Amino acid sequence: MLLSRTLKEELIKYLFFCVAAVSIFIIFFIFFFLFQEALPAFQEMGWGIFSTKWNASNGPYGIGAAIFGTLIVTLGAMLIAIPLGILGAIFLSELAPHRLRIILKPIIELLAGVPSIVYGFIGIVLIVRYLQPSFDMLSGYSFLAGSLILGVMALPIIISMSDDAMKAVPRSYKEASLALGATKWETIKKVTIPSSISGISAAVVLGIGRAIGETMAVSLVLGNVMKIPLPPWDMFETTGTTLTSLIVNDMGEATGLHVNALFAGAVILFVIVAIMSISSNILQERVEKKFRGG
Amino acid sequence: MTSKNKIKMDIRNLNLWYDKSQALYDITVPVLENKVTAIIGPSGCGKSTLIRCLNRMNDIINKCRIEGSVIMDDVDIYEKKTDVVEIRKKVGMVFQKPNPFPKSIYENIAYGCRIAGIRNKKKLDEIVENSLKEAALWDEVSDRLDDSAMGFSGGQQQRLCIARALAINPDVVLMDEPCSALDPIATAKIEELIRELVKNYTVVIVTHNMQQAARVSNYTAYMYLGKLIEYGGTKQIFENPKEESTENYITGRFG
Amino acid sequence: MDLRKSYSYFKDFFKELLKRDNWEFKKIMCIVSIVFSSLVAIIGFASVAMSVYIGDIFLRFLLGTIAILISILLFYSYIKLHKKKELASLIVFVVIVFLLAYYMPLFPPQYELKAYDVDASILKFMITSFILIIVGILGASFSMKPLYNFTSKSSQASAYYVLTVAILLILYPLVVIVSSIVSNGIGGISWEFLTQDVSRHGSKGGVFPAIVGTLLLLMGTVFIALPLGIGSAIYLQEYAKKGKIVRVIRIGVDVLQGIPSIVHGLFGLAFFVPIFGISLLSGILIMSFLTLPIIIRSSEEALKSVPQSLREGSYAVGATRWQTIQRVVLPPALPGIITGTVLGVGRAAGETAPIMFTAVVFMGAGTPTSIFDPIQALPYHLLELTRYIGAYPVDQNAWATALLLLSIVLGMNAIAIIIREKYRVEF
Ligand SMILES: Nc1ncnc2c1ncn2[C@@H]1O[C@H](COP(=O)(O)OP(=O)(O)OP(=O)(O)O)[C@@H](O)[C@H]1O
Ligand SMILES: [Mg+2]
Repeated sequence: MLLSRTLKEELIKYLFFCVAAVSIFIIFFIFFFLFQEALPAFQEMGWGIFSTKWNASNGPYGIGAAIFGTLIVTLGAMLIAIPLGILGAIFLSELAPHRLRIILKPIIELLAGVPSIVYGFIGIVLIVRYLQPSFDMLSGYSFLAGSLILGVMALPIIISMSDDAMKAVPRSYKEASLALGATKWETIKKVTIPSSISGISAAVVLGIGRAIGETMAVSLVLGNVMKIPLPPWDMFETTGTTLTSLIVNDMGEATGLHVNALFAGAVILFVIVAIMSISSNILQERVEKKFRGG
Repeated sequence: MTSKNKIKMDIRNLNLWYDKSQALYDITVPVLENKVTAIIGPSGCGKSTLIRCLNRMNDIINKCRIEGSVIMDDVDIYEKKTDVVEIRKKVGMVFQKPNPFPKSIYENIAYGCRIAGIRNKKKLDEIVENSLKEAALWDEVSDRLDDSAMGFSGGQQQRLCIARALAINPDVVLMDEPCSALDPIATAKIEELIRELVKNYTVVIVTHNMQQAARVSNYTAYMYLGKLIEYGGTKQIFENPKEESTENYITGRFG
Repeated sequence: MDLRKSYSYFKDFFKELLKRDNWEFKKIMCIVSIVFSSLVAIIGFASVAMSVYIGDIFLRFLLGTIAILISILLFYSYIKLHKKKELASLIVFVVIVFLLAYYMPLFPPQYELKAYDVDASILKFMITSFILIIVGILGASFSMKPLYNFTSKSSQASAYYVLTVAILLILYPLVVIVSSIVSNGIGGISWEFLTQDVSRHGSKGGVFPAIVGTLLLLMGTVFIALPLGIGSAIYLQEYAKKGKIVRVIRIGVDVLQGIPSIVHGLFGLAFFVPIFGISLLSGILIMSFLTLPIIIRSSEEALKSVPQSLREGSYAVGATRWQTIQRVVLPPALPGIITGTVLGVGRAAGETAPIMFTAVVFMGAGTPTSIFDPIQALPYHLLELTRYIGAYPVDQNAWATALLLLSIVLGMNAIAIIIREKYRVEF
């Protein structure tokens, strides 16, 4: 009786161990595979991989222009999403009456799930068509369009996570402040936001990470040419690409070193996103520690 | 020590480390059958740690290392071949904060029996009723057995947890500050319950409340900074402590 | 019913306004000014949205009125001497608005950016409407100050005003997107659309094979990712010793969760396609890898939220580890696990990038007979239609596909949220 039960327990444990081992193997195999495939490009090109010299058919494969595009589109998106997102989160968590909140919060969470191809489609039929006449552009396809879409896409994540962060501030903190005669707004400014700042930063960082990795929505509204626009701040330029758009446009017909260069782009994306999600996690752990102690 | 009583559990030279810091130092103390043994001492002195050693609850804490032995019915519960599950069936535990499962009262109590393989509905009904009666809760909940346990008061929840522990018919019941979350009336109920229980069970109770220890226990162990300072009959400990530290603590002159 | 509830929020606000002593001139002025400024902001907003310039006279009228209203307020509200800063900022604001009212109509119709080598121009309506929005919002929040006699309550009122504007700005694009998809797409959804194959580059026919393909893909993904994900989460959370290794694994899971889906696509193209070809199987494997970390993470969170005291309660009555997991830990964690799974699968349902070179074709897949056949899928179908816009008359079908995809994905997310809210166990 004792033996069989112990045996059963051990067997179950092993079963779970094996399952976990398979998942972990998959995860680290993907990482390994990416790096392995990217290696030839890094070896062949050296630092030249970051240059802007790009020739799709026979090299060189410098992906600098795509990196630049990723940065500029993300920057533009964040100019929209960060202030609006944080303000929205404050409204949602501190200001909205409960009844309004329980409607708004699920709606915003729902919108985080809208597929990126739908945003891409909207980008073409609404945003690009709007921008072209409104700015008297050659065509509406531009970094600006990409930034607008990405900004809207990043909003739900930032709002929802920042809201959670602010909701996690213990009520006793706020009550202490209100009891001292502070207004609600002063309490928000002086207590709620400072004590949830790590969580809000985590939300922002995660939002940036998502924006950087977004593919379909962006690639559809960009010109997708491997060139840095002149002047570089030209958000209206119709030639422009990002790392994700580069990969999605070229991966169908790439061969040889070209493939490796795409993998190099993927590795760079991977590294950026890894840094983002790890720092977001660290920030969030900090929040948890803070409130568990208090 | 009074030797006419049978020793139910014998803690011998028990040392315990959480990671690198030692929490228990060479504890040797008996637990007598059908008696209430109280463990008292200032906060952080290792009372909970010690009582959790008696049903190997510390096994589930990471980086917790234990040396020494606890003998129950001539078997060392820390021996490799001892089945920890069997130990826990014999040594029930009630926790500081009531921790009922988010299920009905009935299911909470039947849980342990089902684990032990009792499926017979009639038998289960009987056990549930008996343990609720033993825990002095039957009258209050007999018509609400299917209500979720989460909706009951703290004192009721705690008695439910006691009933849950009794349902598997243990030999020993461990209670870690069972009354700390309760009001005086609920506390009195539980104390009364403990006095009843001790007729059939062996009880070990950790408490912060000196009067409570004096009221319910037959034997008292005083701990300080992970060490057992003094052990003896409750009357003797409270009226005539041998150690100065004990006296200071009991009389409240403690820093 | 919910509408009525949010309505009561505004009702409270107005009640509050009405309650304040009796109606004196200053208060009426304040409210008129708040309402008018908000109106100006809305007009500005509308003129951006519709790309129209509102005209010189109207512009002057709007800005001028705001400036006059606020000057009257300034005049009538008693500002104590130590509020000098407030006074100064109000005066500066009024002066600037007056200047804008005079100069803005004189702006040229457009600023060419050609001089900077940029093929675009800033049109007059852009500048003027942004100015209107800003002046409107600022004006309204300034007008609130006299209402609360320049106390800390007045800055609270201004802040609340700005926050409310922000949430409206956030909701605007979301409402536009959803409503335009619904209104344009609903007409295209018909029995034929749902049950027929693609024809004429998607401008005729329907999306039946794409629906089938997406369903098959999701089923396969659940079949692989669910057991792997839940099993791994149980091992990591309930069995594994909490050490460095588990930490590294968890970071790995997190990073994989954040990886752009196109990277999964690239991986699949280079690794699976050479083995399984462009096939349902490749797609299922890639989607499983994509959803695996989501399922692991959310299941872990769900397991973690079950308090340790419950496990102890179970161990204390002699339950083994597996019995405890099975009977005590899993039941309350289940809603969380299901929520995470549905969210993960919902994400997979909408993804295009991972499958576009590995599993799908635009037409001709029909109903696949083996897992080695390629499939059609809704997101990819929408992508192709989007590319055909302008070249072929696909608009109607594109909107309808977008609506269908959106409802499937949002429907799944809604189910997930409902499960989470409804079966949430409070400890
Ligand atoms: N899980 C743990 N990990 C590390 N250290 C622990 C752990 N649990 C307890 N300790 C430490 O062991 C010592 C004894 O703790 P214990 O909980 O046994 O004290 P106690 O006497 O029950 O105190 P109280 O009366 O406050 O409940 C304390 O110093 C505590 O910090
Ligand atoms: Mg304790």
